[in-house]
Amino acid sequence: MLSRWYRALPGPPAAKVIEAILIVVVLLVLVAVAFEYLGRLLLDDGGVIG
Amino acid sequence: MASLRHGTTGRRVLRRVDPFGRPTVTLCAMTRTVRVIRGIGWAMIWAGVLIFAFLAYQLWGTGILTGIEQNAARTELAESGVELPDEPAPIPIRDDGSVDEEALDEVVETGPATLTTEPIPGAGEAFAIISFPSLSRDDRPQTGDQPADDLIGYGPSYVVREGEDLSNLRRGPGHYATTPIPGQPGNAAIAGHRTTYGAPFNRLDELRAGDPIIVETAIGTHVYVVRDPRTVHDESDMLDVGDGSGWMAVRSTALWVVDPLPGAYLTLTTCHPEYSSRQRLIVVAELVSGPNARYVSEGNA
Repeated sequence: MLSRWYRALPGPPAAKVIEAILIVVVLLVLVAVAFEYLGRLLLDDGGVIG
Repeated sequence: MASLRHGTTGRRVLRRVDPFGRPTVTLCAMTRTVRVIRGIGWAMIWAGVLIFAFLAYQLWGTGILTGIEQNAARTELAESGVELPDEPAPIPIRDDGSVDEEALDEVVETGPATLTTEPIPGAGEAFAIISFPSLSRDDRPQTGDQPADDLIGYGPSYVVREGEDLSNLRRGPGHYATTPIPGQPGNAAIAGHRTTYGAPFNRLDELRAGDPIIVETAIGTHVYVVRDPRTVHDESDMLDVGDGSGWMAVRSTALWVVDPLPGAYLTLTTCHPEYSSRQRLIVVAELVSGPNARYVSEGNA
């Protein structure tokens, strides 16, 4: 599935590598932001009153 | 995508092509049911991976980040040139680890009668160390008179930063900027994570009335004793009270817990119950020893 996704990226091979890295980085950042938000919402928001 | 019959088996096959129209692979066709089950299976595997990653990051990864920040804050405090008193007053400790307050009265009476003030730290600045000697797991403080500095070596201790915003709390406990500095008259309040980011206040529910809490600041070592919250606040406002009467549970919006109090108190706030931010667990402690203890005990605050 991943190799198919990679091959479907537009541009020459060098561009595909950069595009793939960028996509992975953006996904990781989105996951980190989601983890932070869910952590505050579900587990622990720091214990501040108010 | 073309639908054909396999030459030997006669089963239906799919000839797949890439986005440029070139043939790539030939696969035995899956029935719709198999495809759905396979899709659900992959979705569950990825959901499991994400949930595991989420819990690992929250319960373990964030603790590593806070540990690094705490080490940096200790170095920052050491390099700030804060000079603590050479011989802080001894703290009489009972066999059960609590403070013997009758014996402590004599210590307080010998302290300075004037108020020692402290400059307000800047936002985010590390300015104090808080420790919980009674939460020591395996080397409880010895009984008898213990120099307050010696007690700091027992139990968990954390560097406190100025400000209760989330960025500070990721680095350790944060002092409510609208309340007095610990050691000063009034109600000094500190917030901390219970579950994530090093969980500095994870074990506040193990504190009992009479247990010591020690706060070091630039002007000296302040010893607080945990009070039964019902002796300080109105019980009807509480949702729950700890077995050892060392804490209370309140709504997360109970701003009254950080309201000013007569005397000198320390209020610690964290999430409750554990693994939830639904309520707040509150510990209230009273100043019994330190540079301003006599000033406060003589009714000046």
